[in-house]
Amino acid sequence: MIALLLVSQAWGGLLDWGCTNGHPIAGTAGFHNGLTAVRKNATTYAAGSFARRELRGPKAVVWDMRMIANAATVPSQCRDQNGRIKQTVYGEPLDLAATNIGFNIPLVDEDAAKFRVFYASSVTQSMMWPRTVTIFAPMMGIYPALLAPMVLDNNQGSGLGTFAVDFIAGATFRSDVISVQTGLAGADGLYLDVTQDVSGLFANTIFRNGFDLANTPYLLGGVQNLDPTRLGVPAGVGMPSFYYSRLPTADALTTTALAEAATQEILHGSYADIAEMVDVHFEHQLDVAPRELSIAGHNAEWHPRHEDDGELASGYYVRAGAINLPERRLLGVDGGVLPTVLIEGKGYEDNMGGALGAVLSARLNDPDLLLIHPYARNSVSLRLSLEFILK
Amino acid sequence: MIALLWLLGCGEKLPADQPCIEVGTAIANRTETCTGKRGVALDRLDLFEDEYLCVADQVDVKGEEEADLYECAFIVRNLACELVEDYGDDFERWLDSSESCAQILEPK
Repeated sequence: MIALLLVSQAWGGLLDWGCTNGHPIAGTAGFHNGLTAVRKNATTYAAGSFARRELRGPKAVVWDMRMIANAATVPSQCRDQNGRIKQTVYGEPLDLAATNIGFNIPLVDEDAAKFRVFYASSVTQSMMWPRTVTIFAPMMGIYPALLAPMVLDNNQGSGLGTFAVDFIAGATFRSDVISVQTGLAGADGLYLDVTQDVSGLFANTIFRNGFDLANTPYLLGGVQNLDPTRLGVPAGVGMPSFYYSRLPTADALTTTALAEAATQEILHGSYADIAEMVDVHFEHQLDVAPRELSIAGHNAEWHPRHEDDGELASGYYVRAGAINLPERRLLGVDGGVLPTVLIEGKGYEDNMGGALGAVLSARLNDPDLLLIHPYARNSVSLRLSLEFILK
Repeated sequence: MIALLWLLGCGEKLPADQPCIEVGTAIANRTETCTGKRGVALDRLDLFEDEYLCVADQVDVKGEEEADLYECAFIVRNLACELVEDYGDDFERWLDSSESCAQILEPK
């Protein structure tokens, strides 16, 4: 890796492609979009969505790191004295990073009922520095992630290069009938996830300032991974999902200038694990346009059907498709159809009385990312997740 | 992958009319912010593009920073809502907010 970094830096240096002394220009659409990206990154990779995704099952420790390159392009003045773009205005990519840490401790672990306490935290960062430095930012996020209740969000929203911190401390009750996850979200929020595992029915949100569903930071609900094997049907039939999401947050959008992105309502549909090797996905953004159609291939073990009984997912997953990006003239964004590709691999090894796992993925033009950062072009996201599962 | 990421991170020169595009976007964005009406904002953007010509590529920026050409967009994007409402489709008044606007934009 170090060799690759050196080669890439030397190559870039020889060609004088970059700018070492760039200054973002306020007042431009790119600057404005960059600020929006920073705020939305904080809510997209917040502790709430992480807790549902990773901490409902038996995972005891999860450390999830993401780097999102090219989330926005910010007009900047290059004050270098040499190089290809010296003394000119150029478009500087804004990069985002997210670090999630989760701990999940089982207190009751019977077949009929499980009770766990958990801690989930999130640290999001935004950067316009050389990538040879920023590539390590998600790793460095571990320190504030562990100390989130003390750090809180004292530095949030202070510019294009900033960080935000968020955490949930709560508990999960899981039975054959229903699973409930709840906890304190930050200083003033109540996180709630209710899931019926047989039907896949679920609802997930964070309440702040009272129990008003119309004013929650985000709202997810519907059916996710309805698993017919629980009803005795063969696994090859697959797992349908159909759910609604309202993103991003109400409270993170501090100016009405961001209203174009403030009420994104999406219908998500998928049919996963057809013949235990194919997934189909689609998304439709209400009142805007169909967003994504993609197809994925994977190995038979990719989707765990009985995660709580110790079944682990591993292998490979490749997904490709097209995204329809609507035109947003007020953001200075041209619309169009973009390709999307996701390559992911994960594996586990028995160790320390449990299983150590690693997930590595790379994605070009993530549809979810383009939903929240519609001004991102050819964005590349990298993810490394390390896990420990108690057996 | 990391090498590719590094190369994708290189800055790209912007088109010569970018300062003018930014002014139009700023006017429309400010209109939507202050009025809450996206349709009005988009119509105003169309009208602005019909009425004004970009001459940013004719400005001699020697000895100055090219970023100065973006001052007009910065000022417009930060106009008070009372002024936005008052100016409406009268772009001359919008552009009088900063001397830098006349440097890069001319009526057609």
